[in-house]
Amino acid sequence: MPLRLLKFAFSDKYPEQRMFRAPDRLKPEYDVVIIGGGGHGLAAAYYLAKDHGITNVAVLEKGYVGGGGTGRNTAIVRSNYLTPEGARFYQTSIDLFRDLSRELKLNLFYSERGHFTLAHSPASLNTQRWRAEVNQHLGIDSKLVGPEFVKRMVPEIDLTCGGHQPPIHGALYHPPGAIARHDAVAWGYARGADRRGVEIHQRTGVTGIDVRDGAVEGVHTDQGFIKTRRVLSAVAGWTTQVTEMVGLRTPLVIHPLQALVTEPLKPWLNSIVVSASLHLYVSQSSRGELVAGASLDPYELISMRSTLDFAEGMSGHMMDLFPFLGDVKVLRQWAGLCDMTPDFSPIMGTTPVRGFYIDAGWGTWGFKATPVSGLTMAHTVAHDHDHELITAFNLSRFQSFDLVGEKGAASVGH
Amino acid sequence: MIVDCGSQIGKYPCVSMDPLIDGGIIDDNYARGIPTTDSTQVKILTCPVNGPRPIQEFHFGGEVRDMPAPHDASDDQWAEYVFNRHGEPAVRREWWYHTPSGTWLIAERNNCTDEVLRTYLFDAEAEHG
Repeated sequence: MPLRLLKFAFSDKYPEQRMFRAPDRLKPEYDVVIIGGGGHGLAAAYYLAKDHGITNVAVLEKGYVGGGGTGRNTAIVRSNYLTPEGARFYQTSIDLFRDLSRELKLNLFYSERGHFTLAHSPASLNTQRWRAEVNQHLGIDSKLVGPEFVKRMVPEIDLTCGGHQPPIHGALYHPPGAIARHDAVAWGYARGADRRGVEIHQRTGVTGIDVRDGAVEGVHTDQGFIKTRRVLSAVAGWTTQVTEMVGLRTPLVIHPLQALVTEPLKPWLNSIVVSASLHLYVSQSSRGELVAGASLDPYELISMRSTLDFAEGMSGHMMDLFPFLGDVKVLRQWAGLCDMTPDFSPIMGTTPVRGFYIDAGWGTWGFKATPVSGLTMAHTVAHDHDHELITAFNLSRFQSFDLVGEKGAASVGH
Repeated sequence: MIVDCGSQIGKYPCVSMDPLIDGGIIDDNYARGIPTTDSTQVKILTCPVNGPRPIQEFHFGGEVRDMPAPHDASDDQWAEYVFNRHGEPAVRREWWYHTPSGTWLIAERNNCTDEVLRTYLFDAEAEHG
């Protein structure tokens, strides 16, 4: 047992510094207000302070840090995207993730596992071959592999799917595919921002935004009014409620996406396994739980309820791939809110409202972009100019018909 | 038959969007991922032709939108129609499709509580007449 643990036994008060302070009231004015204390908002706050020296910043979080999409995703990080804009963007995120534990001085359990996208038919194999070719052209580590390779890397898999589903013909293999402890990413960024002077206000909901002559003047919260000229909205599934406050129209619609974990098992699954045909992605966390997610719920709903339909369907498909899981129990299930865009790319950057910046459209692909979105949005807010990595993702593309069709955005279900 | 489809359409104070804090107390159900509202979940949708049917028989078709005249619309109007949506909490009119019978219908639904207020068939005359 490390000796430092003794401190906890013998001290009356919690002996370590908290991850971040809890300021008791808002200041009347901030240089920048960030709405949303999830990974994206906190990362933006961190890079604003670290890279741009802007520290008079408030992060407003209606609930608790990391309680939205940040704590509800399946923690997968990958970059095998299919547009030049997407591949470049998500690869930068992977590069940042690889060094992030050291930078934030917090173990994020970032673990490169290799990511398989299974093909259950010759047609699907052709699609995966095409994806591999496009990935390689874009400089992404990605290749087509046969069923023997899949079996060697995931010996527990039933390549025949028990005869209940079409058998596995091969897979797209993405070696850098990783999982990370998603809560820690939010906490690490929160601590880093807090140490540099950023204030994090939990339980502080935004109720309105003052816009005069097309420019932001302040933010109304349930804890009082704040004067500010720059507001960053980083609230993903809640974006439609914030954009309504400033009168911005967007293509965003909200769907729930459900996930579950099983009871913990001894480590057996080293890779991340995805099957588009079975609407399933699964990995094993460092705690031993199998973490599995599905595709979106089939209709729009702004609610984080979960359904038996999902648990039933997901469990059945997991057993198609791994029949021995029949006796393993589901420990918990939940849902997160996904703000979907029509082209499966995010909406990032400046907007027609001066001083209002948007980081949204994170649908089902937001967690893996946490570091790069924070980095690029901080730059965008600091310079009032879109960072070069995100110019293609500006909201204006839905006016200029210049979409970024990202067929690689979700592993399943588009 | 559409009589007064506008009366209940519009903004809705969305209870499920503020699930976490009520009087400063963290809702235990929220932390466990259990819905905090006792809302009427759509499990049964009433098809105007076939009566109440399980939700699995239906396909969601998105909100009802008015298409501007293609030849007269400006690029901005057309982009607005093609891309932009009302994704905020509201009671909206939505297209639904009853798959077994091939029936398109309109449902007035609260997109937060999942409560359906009414369903009816599209009536071009009442819509545009």
